[in-house]
Amino acid sequence: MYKDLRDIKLKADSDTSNVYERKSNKTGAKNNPLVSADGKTYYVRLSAYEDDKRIDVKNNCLLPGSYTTTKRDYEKCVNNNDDPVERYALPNDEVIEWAFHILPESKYQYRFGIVESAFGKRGGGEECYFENGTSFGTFKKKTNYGIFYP
Amino acid sequence: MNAKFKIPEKFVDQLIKLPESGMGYQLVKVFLSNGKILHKHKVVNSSILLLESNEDISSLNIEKIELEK
Repeated sequence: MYKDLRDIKLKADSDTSNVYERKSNKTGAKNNPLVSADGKTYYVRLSAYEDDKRIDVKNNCLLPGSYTTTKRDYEKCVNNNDDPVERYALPNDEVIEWAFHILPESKYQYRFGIVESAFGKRGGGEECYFENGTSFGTFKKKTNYGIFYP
Repeated sequence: MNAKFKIPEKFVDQLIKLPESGMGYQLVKVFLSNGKILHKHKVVNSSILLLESNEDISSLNIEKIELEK
């Protein structure tokens, strides 16, 4: 049974920049099961900050409870000239300037998902949540955003 | 553009031990010394609190920061 619509009006754009929660499409990494790293695949953490606090530069590792994206998604973002702030639904509009390249050992597990829209940003990039971080020596290289490694 | 407040070091040390909400940020509840609580605020790089336009940086005396549930 259908009803005829007599009138449709577009609602004026509303400012969604202060919407805090991720829209719960349940695609985010934290909702998904653990998967294992293969010891060969790189992961990339993007940041506006050269001194990203989740990178332990003393032990060259990623701290527990930190997010990255995959190398393939980072490369896709760069190659498609996509805006990382939109793709990874980041809360502020600071320019992403740094990429931290991480190679976890195969014993390490993480949760994989697709970034949900939040803060008025669309999301859609790949995200990896390393609940336990990564082991010493797995942070391999810091580059400017847009540089691929290795 | 949000105003930014650099979080005192002792809270930064706490925040880097707590999980992120997404790449590079945490959603937190900030308890101020005047009894006010700032709900669902964003902290970037475990060290910079993003404020709403009507919030006064000068009156921010933080007592405690927790992750927002």
